[in-house]
Amino acid sequence: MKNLKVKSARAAKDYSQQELADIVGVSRQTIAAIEKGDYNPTIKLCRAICRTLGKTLDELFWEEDEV
Amino acid sequence: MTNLIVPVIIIVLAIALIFAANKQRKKDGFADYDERQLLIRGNAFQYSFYAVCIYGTLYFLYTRFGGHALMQDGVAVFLGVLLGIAVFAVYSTLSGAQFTKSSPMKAFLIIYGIAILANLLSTGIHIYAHDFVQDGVLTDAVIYPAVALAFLAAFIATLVQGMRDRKAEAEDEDGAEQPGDE
Repeated sequence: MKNLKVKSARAAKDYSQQELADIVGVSRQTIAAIEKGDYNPTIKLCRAICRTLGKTLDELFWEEDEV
Repeated sequence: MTNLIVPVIIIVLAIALIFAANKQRKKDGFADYDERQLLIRGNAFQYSFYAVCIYGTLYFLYTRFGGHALMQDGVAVFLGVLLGIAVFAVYSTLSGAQFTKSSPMKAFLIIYGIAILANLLSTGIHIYAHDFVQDGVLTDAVIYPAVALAFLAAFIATLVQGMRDRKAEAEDEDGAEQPGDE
């Protein structure tokens, strides 16, 4: 499932995938994979992304329809 | 018995080197691969192991039931290792897990290009010398075209991944939706 929340939060901060990747210390492909839903990041990376984008874990990574 | 001393020493040294490299790598924090890249490289290692197993099994069956060896033993082993490395490199590259900031794509392309040219040159020399086959088996001269082929595969995979990356970066900068995004 695509993570459009990360994508829109990133766009709101006006970061490119590469800029966000550089800040959180991963490759651009990893950010792209998270946004496309191809990769589930560890909690450590989720927290780094949340801190950078000024969001909470719930706001970016919680899916209401998930069991 | 004395014939075994050199191979045993080489194997012991190789194992010691692998352990030393692994220890150093842990100390350095696994270069600067991120968590997804490390995961993919683990999968790539798994696939390369399977490829070597399949190659080894097929080659064993061929020599066992085919009646004669296709190539010298050392060459057969080398080609198996080369196959494993090539599978690892191509899979890692196409999955975006081969390059980091400290090991950029351009540097790899240059190294691959030089390796291809050098091995093609050696292949040409051996073609001229007609020494690919000796007593009905392939000699170590086949290593050069095989290495050239392996580097060519890695080179092509790098180019393909480079094009994908550029396209994705351009789409990201334009703010455009990637194909099939919605």
